Amino acid sequence: MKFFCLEDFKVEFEKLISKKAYSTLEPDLINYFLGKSAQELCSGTRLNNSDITPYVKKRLKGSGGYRFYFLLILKNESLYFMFVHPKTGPMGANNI
Amino acid sequence: MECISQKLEIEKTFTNVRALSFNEKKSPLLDKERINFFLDAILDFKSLLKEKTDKLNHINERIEKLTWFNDLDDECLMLINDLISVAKDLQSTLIRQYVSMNFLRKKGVVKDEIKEFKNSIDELKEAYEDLESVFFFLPEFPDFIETTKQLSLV
Repeated sequence: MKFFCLEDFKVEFEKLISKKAYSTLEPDLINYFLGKSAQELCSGTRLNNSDITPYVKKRLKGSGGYRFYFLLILKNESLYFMFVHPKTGPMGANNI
Repeated sequence: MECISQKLEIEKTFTNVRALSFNEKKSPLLDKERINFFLDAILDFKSLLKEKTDKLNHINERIEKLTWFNDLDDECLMLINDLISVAKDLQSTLIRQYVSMNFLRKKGVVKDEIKEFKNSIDELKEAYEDLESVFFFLPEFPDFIETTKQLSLV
C-alpha cells in the first residue's frame, strides 16, 4: 500500500500533533493504516458511491477520537489522506 | 416526688439507648450482606450498560456498512429513510436514559461505562447523519458530484 496526502491534511496533521491533547494521533494513524491491504481499508463510511475509488470517512477511537477522510485508488493500491479532524479537545469539530 | 420522676426518665432513656446500642451492634447499617447487595447492584448495572453499548456499537457498524451499497432503487432508499427516522428516535430515547444517569455520573459511579455508553450514542447520531448525507444530500451537492466525476477518471 502506498500512502500520499494532500497539503491540507499535512498542515492539519502537523498542527494537531504539536498539541499535547492529540499526542495519540500519530500512533493511532500508524496502528490503523499501516500493514493493511486496500480491501481491509475499505471500512468506515463510504461517501462517494464508488467501488474503484472509494472516498472514506473513518472513525478512529470512537466518538471522542479522530475522523480521517481518505481516498483509496484500489487499482494502484494507493491511499490519499485528504483531511483529519479530532472530535473533541481544543481543536475538536463535529464534522467538516 | 420530682426525684422519682427524674429517675424514671433517666431509666427510660437508659433503656432506649441500651436497646438501640444492642440492635445496632447486631445489625449495623453497612453490614457485609448489605454492602455485597449494593455492590452486586452496581455490577448488574455495569453489565447492563455494557450490553447496551455493545448492541449500539454493532448497530453503528451495520449502518456504516450500508454506505458501501451501490445503485439503490427508490424502495431501498425509502427503507434507508425509515431507518434514519427510527435511528433518530432511538438516539433521543437513549439520550434521555443518559441524562437520567447524571446523578450517578456526578458521584463517579460506573463513570467509564456511562462515558462509553454516551460515546456509542454519539456515534449512532453520526452514523445516521452520515447515512443521510451519503444517500440524500451529497448526491444533490453540485461540487461533490463534480469531484466524484473527476475521481472516477483516475
